[in-house]
Amino acid sequence: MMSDVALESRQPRSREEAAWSEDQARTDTELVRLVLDGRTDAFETLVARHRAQVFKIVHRHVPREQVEEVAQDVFVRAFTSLGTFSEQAPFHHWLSVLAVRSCYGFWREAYRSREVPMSALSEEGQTWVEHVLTTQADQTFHEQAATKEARAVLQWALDQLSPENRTVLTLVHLDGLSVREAAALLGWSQINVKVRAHRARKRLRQLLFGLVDKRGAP
Amino acid sequence: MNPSQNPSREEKARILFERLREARRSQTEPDAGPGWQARVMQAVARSPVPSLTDERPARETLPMERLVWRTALAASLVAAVLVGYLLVQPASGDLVASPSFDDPAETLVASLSD
Repeated sequence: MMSDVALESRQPRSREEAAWSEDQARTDTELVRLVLDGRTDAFETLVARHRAQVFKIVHRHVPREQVEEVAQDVFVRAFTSLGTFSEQAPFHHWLSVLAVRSCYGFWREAYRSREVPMSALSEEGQTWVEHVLTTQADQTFHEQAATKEARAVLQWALDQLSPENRTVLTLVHLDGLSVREAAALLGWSQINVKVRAHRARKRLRQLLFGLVDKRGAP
Repeated sequence: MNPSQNPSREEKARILFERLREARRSQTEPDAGPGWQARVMQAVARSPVPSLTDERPARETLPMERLVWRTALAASLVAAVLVGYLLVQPASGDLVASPSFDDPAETLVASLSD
């Protein structure tokens, strides 16, 4: 009797495990088809397979404490719009597009609800900018770059930009993507991305030099 | 002054950008916390089940860009309709031009003398 109960409780578990291990061997496209056929649990394999990639993209665009939430939104959005996956491009590329657009959406929402901090840069941050601009050579490059002040300066400067300029600057000037790649990810025209990238860089430059000019150096 | 000792503003900006890029790269990437994947699957379970559709994600454009393109499209259509109208209506052009080329007085005299 006991053994029968144990067997009953073990059987579904082993079926799940078998399905899980089968899913591991499937391609992304096969998994997408399974989900569309009603096997929602197959989506978990896609999440496990691509979460590192999504976390990497999201972390580059949104504050650290928001990464998990935005990454979750990316996968939920991916699930609900799975029917639009055309199979012409790889799944990871389609997911990257969703991730970048979710990050852009995050900033649009944050700016709309005025959640973006517009506080002044700390004294340490201003000193860091001044130090970099007055140091002649690259001898202390890594030492300077690794400081938390540098990250604070970047964060402050990005917060001063519009969501559009912020996203384009991050993709083109910080991530090093080409205008064409950034345009494809955002679904914008290349001209639009090019113009925004130029304006954003100019604005960033103004902001950073403005800090030093205000202090009367160099 | 030696230019290498006093880099231009452009060069300073380049160095500054490079420092910021490097600082950004040096950040450690966060990984999903415990239970994150389970939370995602719970949210997925609450979401509408996806189905095959011909709909493609709409091309995301900015409001101003959309306005500019729509205005340009409307202006092009109006211009095309106007050109088309003028091309298929040559008679109207003759009618407009005829008073300038014909001499109504001469025509009148000729017709009266007949």
